Amino acid sequence: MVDLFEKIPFLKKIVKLRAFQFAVIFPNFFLFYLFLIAALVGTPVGNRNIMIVFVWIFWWVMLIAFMVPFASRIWCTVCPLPIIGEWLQRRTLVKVREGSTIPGFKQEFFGLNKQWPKRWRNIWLQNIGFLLLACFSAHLVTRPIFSVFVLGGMIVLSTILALIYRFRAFCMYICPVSGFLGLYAMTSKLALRRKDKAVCDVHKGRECFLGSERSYPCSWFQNICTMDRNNYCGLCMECVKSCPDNNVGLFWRPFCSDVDIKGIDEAWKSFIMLCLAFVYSVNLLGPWGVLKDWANFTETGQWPGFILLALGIILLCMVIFPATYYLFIKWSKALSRSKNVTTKDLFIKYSYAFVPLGLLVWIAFSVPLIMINGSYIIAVISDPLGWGWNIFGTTHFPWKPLLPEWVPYIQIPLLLMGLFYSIKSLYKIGMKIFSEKEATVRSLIPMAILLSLITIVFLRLYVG
Amino acid sequence: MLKKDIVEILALGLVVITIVGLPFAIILYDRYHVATHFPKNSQIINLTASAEPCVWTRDKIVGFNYWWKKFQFAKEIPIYDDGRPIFFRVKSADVLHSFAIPLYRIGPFDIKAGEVQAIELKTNKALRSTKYLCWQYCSECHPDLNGRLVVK
Ligand code: SF4
Ligand code: SF4
Ligand SMILES: [Cu+2]
Repeated sequence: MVDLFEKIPFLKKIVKLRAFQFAVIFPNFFLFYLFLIAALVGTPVGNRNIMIVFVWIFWWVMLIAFMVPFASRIWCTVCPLPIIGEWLQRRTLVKVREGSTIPGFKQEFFGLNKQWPKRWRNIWLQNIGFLLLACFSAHLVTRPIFSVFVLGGMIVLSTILALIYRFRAFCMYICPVSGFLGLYAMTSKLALRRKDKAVCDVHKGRECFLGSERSYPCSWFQNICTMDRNNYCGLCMECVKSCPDNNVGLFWRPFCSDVDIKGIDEAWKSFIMLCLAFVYSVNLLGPWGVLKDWANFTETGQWPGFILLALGIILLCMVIFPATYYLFIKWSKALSRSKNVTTKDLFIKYSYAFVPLGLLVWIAFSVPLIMINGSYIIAVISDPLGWGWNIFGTTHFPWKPLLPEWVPYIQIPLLLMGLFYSIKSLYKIGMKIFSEKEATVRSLIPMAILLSLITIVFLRLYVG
Repeated sequence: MLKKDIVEILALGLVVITIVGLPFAIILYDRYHVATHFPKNSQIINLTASAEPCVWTRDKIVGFNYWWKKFQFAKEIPIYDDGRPIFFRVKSADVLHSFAIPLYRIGPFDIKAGEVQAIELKTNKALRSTKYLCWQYCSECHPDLNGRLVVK
């Protein structure tokens, strides 16, 4: 593990600047505003409108294939969606307003600053929101106006929630992107953590959690002194600014270093993501055109088909897959012959199996997206609204797939890598649970079978 | 004034300028584009084809109105024969269409979805009224995709 702040002191200097967050969000704020305008008054043709091309091709691929595996939730550092809410909450864009609005905290906050209801302090709402959005994905990725509804809706909702609840309740509990960013960020090479436990133990100021006169509290309700996973750290860098002892480091570490799934909500997130990757792959690559007609119900008028499809997706993600996995877990538990762990605990802990594999399946799924449709990006930057402009002279850049025959050769190793990391991580988890090699290996047999089956299904889908 | 207040004001300024200014910047750039790509005082006729709704229209078809607006069918496009250059800017709101004015020997031009095709028109004294149409089978509504140019 390397501390990038120590390696590159300049980096630390930059993130400690008060204006850091604003400086990285503002360009995205500008771009997303442009995207929203383009979606409203630009061409309704998706692949000629910057909203669709940038968000659903460029951004998506960057997010899943680069940001998440290599830089954790760095997207949340630069995300413009909840920022209006945060600006209103703080009534500043850069500086810190001192005050005592919330007992214990030394800053002034605008709004009601309520606590988020206890029963919703989990990611179920995100799971449900993401699943519902996924059912409409055929519209989302082709029709600019749907993206306005969804992204605009997220901006409005996050702003309203910021005025009612304290800090980033929206990001923690609602944002549909957040759930999978958090889950898959566990695999990431990058992690923000406290450096030395001993320093935290003797220091009683808790500035990292409460903020100080030059920094805000952790908007993500995290305590960096004890934080041991990437899941809910939005990398806002406030705690780096807060810590008077310079005890926060930005670590570059091996893939899949966080392996603890901590709740049933997170387990389900891993099922949902894997199943959705399957559903999308089938929809895109499978031989069943009728599914596409159902997904496109507003054009084909096949409402009943769409409802059937949506119910099918929900059933698969929420019931069928988890039930199958449960059977494998029972088998795994039986083989382990161990009393160290309940079936439920094993069910939660081993669901990490679907994290590395799920992420790599998504990356494999996204490879053709950028290789086949990437040329739209070049065309659309010259004519973002489809109004006939030619800013950089690339408007008529032809649609040209990049080395399409290579796609399967990139996808195969990605899938196998997912399988490898999943099994490797499960071994690590198993050793923690059973603390002996034989039981662990025995318990892994059913899981290895399940994971291999899943990998084969995806290999067949992608490579044929 | 403190340094942090200056930074704050700068940041706020940037945000306000963006929110207010970007729409204006877009409109201005569009004017600039048209001004630099077409001769001065040209007659520019924007025409958009769409299969669903089935229409050739001079209205703007954009992301937010595509779904509900009744676009006016350009059954008759008046052209003023007063020596000014005449340009069509033809677009498609959905599928691949094709634009032609056969008796003027113009086209057919492919009109790709979301792209804008600029086409110059020279009027013909003998033909005061002529048909324009979508030239290739684009959708079921294809037979209806035609109208007339009327030289005034
Ligand atoms: S949780 Fe969602 S809204 Fe919040 S910063 Fe991350 S992506 Fe943006
Ligand atoms: S732990 Fe630090 S970097 Fe992460 S969200 Fe909290 S304050 Fe921001
Ligand atoms: Cu036609």
